[in-house]
Amino acid sequence: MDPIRTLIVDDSSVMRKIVERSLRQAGVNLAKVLEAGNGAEALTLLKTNAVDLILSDINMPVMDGLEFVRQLKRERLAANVPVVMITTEGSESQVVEAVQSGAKGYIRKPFTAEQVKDHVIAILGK
Amino acid sequence: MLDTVAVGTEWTVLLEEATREVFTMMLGCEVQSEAGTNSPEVSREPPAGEATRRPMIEVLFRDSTAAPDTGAEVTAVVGIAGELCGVFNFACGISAARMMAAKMLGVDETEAGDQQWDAIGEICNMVAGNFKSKLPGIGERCMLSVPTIVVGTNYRLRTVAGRRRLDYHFQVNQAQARVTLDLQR
Repeated sequence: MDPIRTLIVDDSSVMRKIVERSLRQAGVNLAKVLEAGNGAEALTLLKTNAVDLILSDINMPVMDGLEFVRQLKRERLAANVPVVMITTEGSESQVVEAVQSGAKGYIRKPFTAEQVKDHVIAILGK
Repeated sequence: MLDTVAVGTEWTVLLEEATREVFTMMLGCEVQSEAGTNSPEVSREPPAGEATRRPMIEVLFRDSTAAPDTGAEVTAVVGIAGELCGVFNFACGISAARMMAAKMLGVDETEAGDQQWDAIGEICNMVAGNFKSKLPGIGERCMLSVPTIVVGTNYRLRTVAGRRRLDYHFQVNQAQARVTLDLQR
């Protein structure tokens, strides 16, 4: 797999590290990892940083993951970058809402490194 | 609400499953149930007419002259609202919290630093979300709050009386921990 630049968005610093570790454990070749604590921080980062993949929590203060994806698409800011939602809220209605907002995939916590890898490969096609 | 939702003893099994899965998948640790400490379903009905419009949760700080506890505890609290209304608690000792954070991050305990509070909040959040997802038709009509953490040696977490309690006591790497779900009627 080619090296990928990744943005991980979660209000939990522990969870951001776990997601990064899971990607590395799964053998995903990470060129760069950016972190943001909420959707607003992520949008700011994306104004000056290019990424290939975004993994985002849904329930976050300031700006939640669904609103983050909506603004990402609306403002055409990294609009083509695939977003995978990672969250404890695994209801069908939330999956539908996430997809309608523009998310390409959905991983429910708890997750394994293999599950993360499967989503990344399916989305990036590598 | 609970009047129309049957809270069966199988819910305790689901709470145990939800907890086990979080620890296995996210920490790489096996959970051992503590024999004799589980109370599959404890119903604590309120006295007739007792008001239920009290806060969902209260943190009581004990008199500082009271006998000291043997060790500090950390408690993570996640609220659930919607079809079910209640509070999830996850509690363990400080050293256990540090161990769990280290396991989650894949680092030594000395490297875990202050991440233990965040880690315990995430564990509670994941157990709550995982439990919720095991209740088809009910869980998806519920929302979870962000976690709140209480740390110290001199506090008691008290939720409003008149509810049903699901309790799961267990050990992880010889450290004791418990998950509790208090459901409001």
